Amino acid sequence: MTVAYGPMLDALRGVRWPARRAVGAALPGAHRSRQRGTAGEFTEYRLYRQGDDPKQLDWKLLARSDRAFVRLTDDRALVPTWFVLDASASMAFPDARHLTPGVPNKWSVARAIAVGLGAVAHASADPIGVLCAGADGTRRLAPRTRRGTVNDVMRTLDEVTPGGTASLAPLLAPLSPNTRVVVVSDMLGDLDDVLRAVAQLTAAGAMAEGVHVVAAEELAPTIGARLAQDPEVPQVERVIDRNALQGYRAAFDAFRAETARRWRATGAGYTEVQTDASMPRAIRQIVGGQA
Amino acid sequence: MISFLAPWVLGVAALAAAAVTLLHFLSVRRPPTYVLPTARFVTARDARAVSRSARPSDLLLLLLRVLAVLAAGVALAGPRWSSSRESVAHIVVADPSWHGDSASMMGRVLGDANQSGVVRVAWLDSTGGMRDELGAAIPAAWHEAGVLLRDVPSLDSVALHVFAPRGGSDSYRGWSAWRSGWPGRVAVHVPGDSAAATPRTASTSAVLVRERRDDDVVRAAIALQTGRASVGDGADSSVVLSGDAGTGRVRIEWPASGAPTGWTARSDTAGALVAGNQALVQPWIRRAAAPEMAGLTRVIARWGDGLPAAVETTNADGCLRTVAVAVPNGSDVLNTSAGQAFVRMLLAPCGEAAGARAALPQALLADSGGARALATTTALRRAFPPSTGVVPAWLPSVLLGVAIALLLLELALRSGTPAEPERA
Repeated sequence: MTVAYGPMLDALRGVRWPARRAVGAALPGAHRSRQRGTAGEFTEYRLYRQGDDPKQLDWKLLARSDRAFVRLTDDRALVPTWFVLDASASMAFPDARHLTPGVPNKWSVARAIAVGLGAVAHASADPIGVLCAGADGTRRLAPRTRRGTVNDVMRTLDEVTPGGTASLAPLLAPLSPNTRVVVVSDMLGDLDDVLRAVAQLTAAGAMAEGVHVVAAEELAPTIGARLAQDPEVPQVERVIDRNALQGYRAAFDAFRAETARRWRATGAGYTEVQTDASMPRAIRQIVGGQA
Repeated sequence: MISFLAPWVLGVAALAAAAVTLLHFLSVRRPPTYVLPTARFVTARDARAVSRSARPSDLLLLLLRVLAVLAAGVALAGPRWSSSRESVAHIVVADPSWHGDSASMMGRVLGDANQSGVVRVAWLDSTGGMRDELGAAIPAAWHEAGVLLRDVPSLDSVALHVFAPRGGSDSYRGWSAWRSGWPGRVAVHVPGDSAAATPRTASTSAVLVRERRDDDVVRAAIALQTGRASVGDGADSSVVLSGDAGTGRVRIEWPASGAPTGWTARSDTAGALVAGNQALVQPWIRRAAAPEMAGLTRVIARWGDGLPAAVETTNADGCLRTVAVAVPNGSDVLNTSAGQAFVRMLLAPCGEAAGARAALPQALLADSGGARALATTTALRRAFPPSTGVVPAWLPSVLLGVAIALLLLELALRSGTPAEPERA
């Protein structure tokens, strides 16, 4: 393992990531299920009906009230969680020459978020899987719950080199609605297609989270007579200097606000994570839905 | 050697060339690129920036531009090319009485060292020249100075030599006023015996009187002055005096009646005859009018109304004095002191007629003591209007043509050179 996630995982120990709504029929797990059953946490009494299992009768209540009631509890189900990571060329920003000491680049943050959230989900016995579109094509790690899955995720993501202009939307289309999908991206690629795919998933019952990774250097680019070039669209070259900085910031802020609005409009959660933020804290924000 | 009418234009051209060179140290180039995924949010505009570089760019273009600017500057500065390397020129203003002494005159100008140099000589007329007023030399000197400044632009300074008339001038009153305008030293040269209180009579070997009666008063007056009996041959009405070779032969044509050769007949009267500082006052009958004075002819006696009565013409032998004064026979006017002085004047060696003149004042000679520097061409040029004479006249056109050709070549080079990826 080339990246040390130990401190982050230690900080996330005990963090739970409950589903924001009741999940559909699934294997028993940690999440509240839409189905009502007789196992799990007590929720209410119901009059005994013909055919109920007599073992569910609350005998004490029967003794007190001379009436037969059955104890009902909520079912818990697991939620397979897919982490869909954007490994396009823009995620490699900033490169090693322009990296601020102590601040990782966007891809490192995306990996950390995926590993952190994956560890949290795996701790609740949820299967976790990874889909990643990068320079070398698509990497896929099917959801699994076995011991060591988090290490598998780490290993899979360590082998990915960001580059190219691969689209994320095709990765979302085949996903099942009974899943939780976490899209980790800088939202500078095929955002419209991704949002359309996410909207379809959420409409079908899936839970979606969008994690918008923003580099600190994108919020405050270096001032000087330099030519900024988009790594995914080389034809886009702009002179960014003191005069252009204010306009740039306004435009980028507007883009981020609009992106947040669109994500939430699809029924998905949205969290913006800056590269200079604390990863455990960011992950807590994601799981807590506080962004 | 080249000089310029407007040297300041060269300075402007040099500044412009320096500015062009400095601009070539600034290069307009594309700024360095760096990756920014959010570049799309920057407003698009011209992606070029000005930066300084340690070495000038486009050396060939720089050379063409500098040469074009300098060529145009030289053309507009009014170049004057002179193959002459003379820095000092001599202006000689001389009286015609120095004609026979040109060698010694040039010797005085150029000195014992036998130096060479540009020398312009202006011979003033006997009439209206330095003989009447010595100061007439200065305007002539200014005229010659203008010619020198035009023809020899490489000159630094001008030396003025004034050769005063033999026998002095009638007036020196105008000298100071004219002299003050000349911005340098004036060397006034005098003949060895130019100052004469009384005119000398020509040394004669014979006096020939033609067609004059023995009792002619003119013959008598001449005999009285020369101490020699005159000899008559009846050939013409003239008095011939053979003078020494050193002073030149003096010939006097003094017809007893009628008009002298070349004069026109007239008949009127005059109240006085003036020669030098002598005046013969009596009712004179004028029988001739003088012709146009030209060349080496000068008036040596005038009637009271200013018309010439006697003139002296310098010739190869010496001089011819023509006298149109009809002395009545039996008159004793020539025996008076004024009349004797008149006759002595006519008998004086060539150039010394018109009686006794004032000697050249020593103050004038003192001016040639060298206390003042030679007149500089800079000071002389201030007296003349700005010269538009470019020498040679075709030079500015050629230089401007060269400048235009260089600029066209620069344009062609610039248009033909493909844009470098890093430089505009």
